[in-house]
This record gives sequence, C-alpha cells and structure tokens, in this order.
Amino acid sequence: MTTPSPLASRPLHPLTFLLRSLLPLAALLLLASTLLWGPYGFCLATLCWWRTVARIG
Amino acid sequence: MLRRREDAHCVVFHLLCVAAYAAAFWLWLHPDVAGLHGLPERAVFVATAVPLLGWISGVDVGVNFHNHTHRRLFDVDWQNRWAARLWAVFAAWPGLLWQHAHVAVHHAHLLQPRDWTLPRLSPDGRFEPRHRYQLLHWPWRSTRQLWRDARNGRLDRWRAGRETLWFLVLWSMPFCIDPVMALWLWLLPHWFANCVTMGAGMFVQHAGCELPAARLARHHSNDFPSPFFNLTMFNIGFHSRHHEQPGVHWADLPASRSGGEAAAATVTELRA
Repeated sequence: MTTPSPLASRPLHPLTFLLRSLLPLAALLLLASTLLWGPYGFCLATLCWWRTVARIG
Repeated sequence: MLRRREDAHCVVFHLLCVAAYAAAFWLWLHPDVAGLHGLPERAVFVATAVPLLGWISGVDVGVNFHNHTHRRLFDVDWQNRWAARLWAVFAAWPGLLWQHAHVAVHHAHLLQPRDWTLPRLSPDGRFEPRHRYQLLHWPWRSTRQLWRDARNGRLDRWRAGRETLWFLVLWSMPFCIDPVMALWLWLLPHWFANCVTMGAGMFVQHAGCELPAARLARHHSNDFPSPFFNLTMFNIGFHSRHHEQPGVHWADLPASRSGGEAAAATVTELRA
C-alpha cells in the first residue's frame, strides 16, 4: 500500500479561503462601509481594524 | 487550469484586491452616494484608503505574486504571462521585472554585493537605516539597477521592453478615467505598497544577517513563526526554508525543513 505524499495537493476548505483572504476581504468590506457610515465612519472602522490586526499578529 | 489546487487561494486573494480597488474608485467617482462632498471628507477617505489599499497591494505582489514567480500557477504559458501582467501592475511593477529582481538578483545573490534588492551596507557593516532604504529603493534605486541589468545583458532587453510597454498601458488606465483619482487611489497606494509594506518586509527578513557572525553561522534569513502571520501571508514567515528551497510550494513550507534543521535532526537521529 502506498502512503500519500504529505506534499500532495490538499483539499480546500472554505474556512481557510476566508482566513487566508482576510486582509483584502476586510479592505473591501471597510471600503464598502463608506456607503453606510460615510468617510468618517470608514476611518473609525479602519482604525479599529488595524488595532485588532496588530493585537492578533 | 491551476497546477496546484491550493493556488486557488492566490487567485481569490488577488481578485479581492482588484475588487477593493474597484470599490475605492467607484466611491470616488460617486461622491454623492459615498458622502465625499467636500475637501475634508475626500481627504479623510484618501488618508484611510491609501494604507488599506497599499497594505493589501504590498502583500498581493510581495508575497502572493511572489509565489507565482517561483512556481507558475497555471498550466499554460499565455495564462502565466497574462497573470504576471495583470498582477504586478497592482503595485506599479511590470511582472517580468519584479521576477528578475526577486529571483535572478535577490535569490541568486542573497546578501552578496550583487543583491541590490536589499539595503546597502553602512560603514559599520550593518544595513543602512530602515527608513532610508524604504524611501530610496522604489522606484529610484530599483529602476536604475534594472536599467543597468538590461544594459549588461543580465535582463533580456527585448522582453523587458515589451513587458514595460504592457505595464504602461495597464497602469495608465486609471489615469485615463480620472487623473486626480488615480493620483490618490492608485499611485499613492502603490508608493505605500513598495516603500512601507514590501520595503519593511525585505528589511526585517534579512536584518542582522549581513553581520559577519551571522554569516559564519550561515544565518541568512529571519523567520516569523506567528500562525496568524503565516496564515494570511502564504507561509512567508518560514523564510529560511524558502531561501534554501525556493522551489518548494508555499503550502508545503510548514512541512518542509531547512538545511540547518535537517542537519540538526540527522545528528539527533544518529545520536539516538
């Protein structure tokens, strides 16, 4: 019996897509938030996002 | 179409970056809907959007497109060629020239005098100050060095010229739509991507490795093991392994071992 190579293509999980694309996805959503909250709300939400990323990273 | 299924992550990441730029442009072009009525509102919007777009562009080209330069994502040549053209333009680079700078210069001559992608050395033997490097490297030093490489035959002049023309066509498009918008939401984020995101990244990945003691210990790169960092940065934190085995796919880097790690493991096994 052959053992599959650990370096072979791995199955793709939707959650990893979401997490790996977190930075551009967040940027897109934050920009879209301008429609709801205007430029000042966008600025405030983005500042909160940067603080959160700095804390996690 | 894709050589590795995991590379769908790279494509999705890039498409989200494209969507973020499209959203920023659309908001600028529809000030009544976005509430960008006066100069203060526009200034706040630009000041917030530039680091946001610049950061994702820096990662999209410095890490994500970087994966493509080492291992092509697609099966077919023309798809790879167009992927490079449509990808690196999001940080104001012709794809071929970024690839030359990274693979033929940085990887081939790491920490040697010919590696012009890294900071210059100060008289004390250390890297020059980080901010000096970040402000002077792109586009000033990089353009000069690429020109020299093309003149010396290290870079294929015909291909470089052709790809630069394609780059100029693609990169100028936002300027044709609205030059003021392009200045604030295209050029300025690209400056941020190169000088802040990629510049800082290049600096910290090799800072300290230029010193004689580090060279004696064959310590050429700094690693960043944070799981969050590696999850969102395509495992680029495994930087020593990446330099020792640049052909290893980004998804395989956590499972691979650098030469030093492999040697240490062998010694442990022999002792056991």
